[in-house]
Formats: sequence, C-alpha cells, structure tokens
Amino acid sequence: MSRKECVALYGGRLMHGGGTVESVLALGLDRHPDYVASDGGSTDPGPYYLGSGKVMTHRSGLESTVRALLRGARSKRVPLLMGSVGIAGARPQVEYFEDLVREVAREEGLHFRLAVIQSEMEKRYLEKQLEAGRIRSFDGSPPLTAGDVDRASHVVAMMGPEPMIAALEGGADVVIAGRCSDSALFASYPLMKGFPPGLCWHMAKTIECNVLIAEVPKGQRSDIFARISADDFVVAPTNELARCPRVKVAAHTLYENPSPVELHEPGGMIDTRRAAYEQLDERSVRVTGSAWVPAPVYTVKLEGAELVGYRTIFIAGIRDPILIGQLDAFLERVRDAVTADARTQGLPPDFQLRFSAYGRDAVMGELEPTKALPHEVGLLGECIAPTQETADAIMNIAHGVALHGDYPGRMAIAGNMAYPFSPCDIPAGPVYRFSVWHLMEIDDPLALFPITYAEL
Amino acid sequence: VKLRELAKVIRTKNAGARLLTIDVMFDDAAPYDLVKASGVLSRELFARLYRAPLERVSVIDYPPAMAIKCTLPRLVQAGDPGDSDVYGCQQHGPLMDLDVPD
Repeated sequence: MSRKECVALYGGRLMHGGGTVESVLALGLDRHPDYVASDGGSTDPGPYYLGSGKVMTHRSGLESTVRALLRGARSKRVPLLMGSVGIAGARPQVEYFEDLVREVAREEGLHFRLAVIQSEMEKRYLEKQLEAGRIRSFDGSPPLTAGDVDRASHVVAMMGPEPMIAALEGGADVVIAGRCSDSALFASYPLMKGFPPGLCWHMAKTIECNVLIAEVPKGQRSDIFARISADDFVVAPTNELARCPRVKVAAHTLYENPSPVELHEPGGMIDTRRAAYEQLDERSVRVTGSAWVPAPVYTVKLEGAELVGYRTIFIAGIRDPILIGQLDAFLERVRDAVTADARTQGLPPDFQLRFSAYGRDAVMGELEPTKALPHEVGLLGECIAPTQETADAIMNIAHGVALHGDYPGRMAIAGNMAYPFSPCDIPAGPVYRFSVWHLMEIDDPLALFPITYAEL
Repeated sequence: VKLRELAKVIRTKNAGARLLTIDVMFDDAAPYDLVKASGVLSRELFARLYRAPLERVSVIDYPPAMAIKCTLPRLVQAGDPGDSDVYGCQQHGPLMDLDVPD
C-alpha cells in the first residue's frame, strides 16, 4: 500500500433535479479528498429512461453539477468519477454526458484526460451468452428468451470496479461510467490503492447515497466524506454543522437492499455481520470488521427495457356520493361502452384501459385494507395502445363516456367528471417495461466494458 | 398500541424492480425489544398484507440499526403497466396502524 490513508468525497448531485452549489462542494474539497465521485443512477425511477435512452435529470441541473465537479476536482488535481450517468447508463445517456463534459470543459478552459466507459450490451453477445446458459433469472424474473433480447431497446450490464480502476490506471482525470454498481464507483479508487476490499466496499456502500446517513440542519447543505485506512473507515459530513449518528450509518445497509448483512455486488458480496460501528464524536462514525466475499463465478446484473406501447391519460374529480357509492360498476360499464365504440370506429382492439380511484385505493390497489368510502375521488383514466394515435382515440371516447354515462339513481345529469384541464386528455408518450432483469456469468469483468480516452 | 407510536421510521421502497423492502426502525431499545418480543412483525403478517408467497418473504432483525426488515416480491414489477407506485415508497400505510400488544 502506497499510503496509510485515502479520503473519498461524494460530491455534487446528478439526480432529482441535479444542481450543485460550489460553496457546498468546497466544504468537501477542503477535506483534501484523493478522489471525488458522484452517482447518477438508479432503476427506481422506472424503465422509461433505460428504454428511451433519455436522460432523467434536466440539462440545467446536470450542467450546474458537472461544472462544479469539473472545476472542483481539477482545482485539486484529483480524479473525478461519475457513474450510471443519465440514470440508466445506456449508450445515448453516456454520449449525452460526454458531450456535456466536453462543452463545460471548453467553456471553463479545463484540460484533462477523459475516460468514457460504455456498459451497453450488444445483442449478439447476449444471444451467445443465453445459448451458453450463462444468463439466469434474478429476484424471480422469468427466464430470459431470445425474443426478450431482440425486443429490448437497450440492455446494460452493471459494471464492477475493474473498468473504473483500469481507467484510473490509464491516467484518466475524469471518468464517465455507464451503468455501474453505486458501491463499485466509490470503491474503485481505494481498491486500486490496495486498501482492504471489505472496508473499501462497505465504505462505498455507506456513502453511495451521500447525506442520507447524516442529519443536516435546516438551511444547511452538506456532502459526505470518508477516510479509509488498513484497519477501518470513518465517515462524516463535510459541513461542520451536520451530524452523523451511528445508527444511521448502520441503517444504511438496509436501504434499498434485500438484506443488511449480505450486500451483493458485481463479483462478490459485502458481509457486514462482523461490522462494528463506533461513534467517534457526534459528526463521525468509525466502522471496522466488514468483509468482502468474492463470488466463485463473476456475475453482472443485466437491465433491459422494451417498448410496451403509448399512453394517454385523463385526470378527473368525482364529488358525487351516489356515483362514488357504485364507482366500480360504473367504470365497468364505461369500459364496455368504450370497447364497443372503439370496435364501431374500427380501432385496433389491442389496447389496455385502466381506471384508478385516488382517495380510495389507487395507491395500494388490491392490497388496500381500508374499505371506507371517501367523499371525493381523483380518477385517473389510462390507455396504453400500440400507437399514440390509438391511445388518443380511445381516451377521446373514454372521457366522453365517463362524463355522460348513466348510472342507477343519477341526479347530477349534467356531467359525472370534474375535469381540471382543457383538453382533458393528455398524451403521455411511449411506455416501457423492464424486460431484462437477470444475472450473467462473465469471464472478464473488464473486457465487457470498453473504455475510450480523450485528451481535452 | 399502534406501531407508529413505537417506531421512528416505517418505510417501504423498491429493492430493485421486482422486490419491495420494508424497514421498521426504532430510536430506542425499549420499543424495539417490545415489538420484537410481540412477534407481530412476522413473515406471516407481511405475506398476508402484501399477498406474497410465504416462502419468498424474508424478515431480518438488525440490531445495529434497531431495525426489522422484510423483503418480499412485488405484485407488479416496478413501472410495468398497472403498477401504481414506481418507487414502491407508499406501501407502508397499513403497517402504521398495526396493533402491538403491550
């Protein structure tokens, strides 16, 4: 090991609107980080971004963050890693990010070596892996078929730390990575420097959601930094006014994970059974004892999405107690009437029409245990059809039928739906679903993720 | 007594697109121990509330965070047509009003 300690900084915000305040980032840069990393990805926002290749965070928010990170990391001459860019790490999102980084670098007059790591999988390669029996179900997903691979608009593999280590060893000052494990992004630098893998990975997992492990006073902002050594790691918020309670650090192993003691990552598992969390002062927590258990066969997670159709919606309010008392039966008749009208108009029959009664059971659906009737319902009408044209046509029929349809005991004969907008139908565009959610065995965790370099 | 009067955090969230994970966290050992000892937060309870096959429901006590964690399959994959909660973050309501015998 070349040095006794290494300091990691989570800097900037690439998700949820983005936007980074340079004075907040500076609090972290003042901690003398050896590298700065920022995670831009998640599958939580759903399949649309992977399917469409569109970037989730608005350009204004991303640009502010990329500018602050590039200026900050370059001023300290430390590597900057940005992972799972664009939310899904699909090829168009990586390209979008590369363009953004080049543009900001040009504007700021910054010069550095850029590495771009792609994570999108070629379909022919996936077909071969499928035939070789090297792709298996994950979290109960149905077995992958050649048709799934063929229909997917983008399939990415979640990289481990190896490609990012290779990029850093290749002299990269700035790394743009496609889909990568959040933890691998933060673990790659200390792993490269030879710190114990168990501590590197657990440290990385601890800081991957930035200040989620801290308590930041109202009106203040903070990032998280971590100091790792051969024996332990210590995490703390960069803002002196923020605190970091031990229990929150321990609790982060629960976050968005099936198990807090076995955290599966590309190539292995973080075992936190023997991890000890020690409150050093109210701002810092020391962690020891975490282990890394390499997997016998290296697997990466595959994520892919396919187009389902196109969506049109309406939103309507209902404040009529007579209608609310028989809403399901009414909506069933609406559905039948829409289907009949659609057939008369010669519209294709392969559409889905769905109603959700907000205020009653829309959020939990069939899991909703509360049966009390509300005084008001927000009705969401939704059609998904093979074309936008069909979805629009179906909802055009549906809004009329819902507005004027009859029902037993009807007194309010002027209209059933309080539509808040004109027009009431809202085309919502393409709909995707996760169609690939699998594990793939690989021989080489590096070869799968091509790296290209550029001197800016 | 209701679970929400004992716990500090009651949350649900996706653990990937196919699983829902439920965390009940406490900020004091006394209510944590009370809830654990009551046995209310059992695999059977979660299986029933979330209509999951019992063999796919895991419940883990995690003392370092004073937490009880349950993970189970979602009825609908996140973001699929018919899913109502893409992030899976609003499926906790009924747990809040769960009665814990004291």
